[in-house]
Amino acid sequence: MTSPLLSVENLRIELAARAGMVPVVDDLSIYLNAGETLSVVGESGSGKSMTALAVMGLLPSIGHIADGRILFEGRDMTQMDDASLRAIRGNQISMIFQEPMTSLNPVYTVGEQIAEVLRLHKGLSHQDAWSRAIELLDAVRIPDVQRRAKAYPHEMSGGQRQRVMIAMALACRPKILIADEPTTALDVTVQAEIFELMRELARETRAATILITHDMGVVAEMADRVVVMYRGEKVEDGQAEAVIRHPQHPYTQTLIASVPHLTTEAAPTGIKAAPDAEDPLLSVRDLTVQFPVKKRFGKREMFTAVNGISFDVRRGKTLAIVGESGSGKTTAALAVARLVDAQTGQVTLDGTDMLGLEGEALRRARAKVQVIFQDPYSSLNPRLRAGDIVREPLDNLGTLPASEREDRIAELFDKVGLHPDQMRLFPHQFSGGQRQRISIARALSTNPSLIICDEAVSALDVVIQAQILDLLQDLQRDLNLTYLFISHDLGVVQQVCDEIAVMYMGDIVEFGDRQTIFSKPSQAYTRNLLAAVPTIERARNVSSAAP
Amino acid sequence: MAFLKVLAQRIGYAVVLLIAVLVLNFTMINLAPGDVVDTIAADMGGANAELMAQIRAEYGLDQPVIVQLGRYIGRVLQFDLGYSYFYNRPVTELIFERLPATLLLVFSAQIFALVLGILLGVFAAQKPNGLFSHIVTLFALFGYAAPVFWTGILLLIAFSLKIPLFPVAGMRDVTIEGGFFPQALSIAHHLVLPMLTLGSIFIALYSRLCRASMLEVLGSDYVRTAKAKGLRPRDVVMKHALKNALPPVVTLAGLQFSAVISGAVLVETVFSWPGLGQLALTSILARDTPTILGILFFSALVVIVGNLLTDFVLRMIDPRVRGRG
Repeated sequence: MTSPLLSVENLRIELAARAGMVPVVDDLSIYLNAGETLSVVGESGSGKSMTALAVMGLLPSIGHIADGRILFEGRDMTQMDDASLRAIRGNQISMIFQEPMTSLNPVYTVGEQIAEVLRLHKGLSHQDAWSRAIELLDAVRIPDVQRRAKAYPHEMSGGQRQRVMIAMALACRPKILIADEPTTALDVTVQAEIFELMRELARETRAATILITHDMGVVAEMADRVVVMYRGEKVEDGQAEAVIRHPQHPYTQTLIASVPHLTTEAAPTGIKAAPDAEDPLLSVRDLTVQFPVKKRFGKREMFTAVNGISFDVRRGKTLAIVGESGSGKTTAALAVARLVDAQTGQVTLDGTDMLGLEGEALRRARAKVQVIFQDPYSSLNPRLRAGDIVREPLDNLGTLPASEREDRIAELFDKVGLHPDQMRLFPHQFSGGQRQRISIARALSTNPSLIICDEAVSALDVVIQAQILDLLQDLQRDLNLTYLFISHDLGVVQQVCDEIAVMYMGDIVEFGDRQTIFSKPSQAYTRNLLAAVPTIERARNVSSAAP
Repeated sequence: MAFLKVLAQRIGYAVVLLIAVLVLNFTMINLAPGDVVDTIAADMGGANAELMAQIRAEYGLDQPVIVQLGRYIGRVLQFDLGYSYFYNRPVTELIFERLPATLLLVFSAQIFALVLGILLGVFAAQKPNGLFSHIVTLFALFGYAAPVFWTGILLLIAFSLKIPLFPVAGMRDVTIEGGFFPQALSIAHHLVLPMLTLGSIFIALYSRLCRASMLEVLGSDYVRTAKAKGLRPRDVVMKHALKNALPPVVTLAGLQFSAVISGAVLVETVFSWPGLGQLALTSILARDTPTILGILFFSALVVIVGNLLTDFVLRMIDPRVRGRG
């Protein structure tokens, strides 16, 4: 057997922290053969991105390689000077990053950003580089390339930007392509297209790929081999097929368990309350939300985000609204909570006409609807202590006597799995999962009848995600809560909901109970959405079908 | 096409703004006690009330304020800024004689401060806690904290008296004969110290802001992408980072135009620079209302043009601004 294209030997990466040098990767050895796809799997903080950055020689200034070697075609990259490294970077090894929205320079056209690499590494003239850039954009299926090459990144969608990144990374036909969670920020259908494209182009250019991900479903569909990292160390590696079939390490087992099965076997969640379809908690009729977009000739044009939708949420149940970004699912939920204004329609919550409320009455009614937002890092005020964040709604409403509020906060902390002693801490002293627990405690403080979870677990690692989902379900059972659950992640939705509304371009295209939607979807759009989710079973079927 | 539309729109705003400035200036000047007739009377060594009333009637100062305002605006719209009772010359003539000197000083100081401030900021951001960064901060704060006339006098003593590199005062050497180039060279020679003095205040602002802005941009994802492409550090900084770091600096520079002009008044006085600043000082002392109003009008005009320029520079730098009206 020939020597591998890239081999990382006993790599140790340290980051400078207040307590001195902290290892984030320790004694890591991985190898990559020409033409294969290796998946590196782990949660955030496991060191998988740091390893990729170390291979690129792009570690942040607070980090350094403390020990080990990185051999590319037999040459140790940790010993190379800057000029030799630059000749490899973007030329023989290139990288695609997680955030397509911010990874392209906003002040240059996408064509220029691709042409730049070709001029740099291949010595092409301005004109040749530009025409090659256009060919590359065409290869990643950007429509109308001649014109779109002159577009700036902000004029493109997230999926298109990631295509541009792929074109840029493959411009010099690299031997290795490193993709760091390239689709985490994208919709599931766009993810499927990007993966399809990566597979095809990697085959064409014979580039070996290192795919960093946290999703075992993606591993099953994409990878030849897999390395599982946990807290800076490699805990498992092997052929993807074998690791998925017989995971050894408990962390790998958790990861595999978190992949959606998209079958109907799982038991329904939520309490089995007496059916009271006659008296839903929330009833929405013909809700329309429009935003003004552009003034043209003094006339305001309206963009219809939500187009006359109707649905009910039953007491003690969970309704999930699923859809891609831009489908209007969040807008609809925020209109119910009166956080954005609806143009027409009717929203009745527990007998109260929500849209008719104004001023003080509206402020009072807000106690009944609480929202848990997506990003636990930015949705908590960093200057307030955790206890005060939970306390604020109580002070605001004043229904509870001041003397009892302290006890109530302690009780809420206890309920969401935090220690009452942690009331004195500030948000930045908590982890992402703990912060989301604070958000839940805050939402619970007013005894709401409806809680809106707007992508409440999307920003969390899979293991933490599972814990938060468990907590939400326990609370639902104990307190008879009703959830309106907004998500783009069908795996998550499958775990928590009773009924599903599928939204597409402002309309509800399909509505039904969970079983029906997942097993017998009637609409083509729902079927596409389900088909785009990477699952282990499907990957298996595909690979066994192949000769 | 979109560009022309925006340009027309901005010029429209500018005209409305200028008229508002005219009204405001006129009202404020008329609220202040005393007028030019008091000064004339004082110069004559005293006059009786009858004579003063006669002079007022002659200049139209006996009319109600609103009538005076109407006449004033009417004249300005015909590019007639009135007649200086003090200098006995049309105000327009007085201003146009001195405007080029002030424009030269203001724009050169502004450009000097921007270029140097941005360069210092870019270098300081490379090693935000390095020695150079601290020296830049110290130097910048010194320039910002020191009163401009004091800096001016200090520079004069240092580089005109002790080491006679630059002239002490004025704008050109009157003894120089010849064509455009010797003249221009002489003006540039005279310009150095006033420009340094006036620019020193603003270098501090621009370099501090540029440093902060660069630090933010250098941590961004697209700078990481640029490094991942294999670009040289110089290209990463000067091509990919700098252009993104500029908008806040340019915006601040636009807002500072008015401060540069008011700084110019002091600098012109220190260096006997024959610009609007000197004219402003003498006409204020003489209560020469038409001249003061004329200067205020032109200052406003310079500020507005400066802001228009800023706007268009921003549109050139950042394509995301172009989409908006």
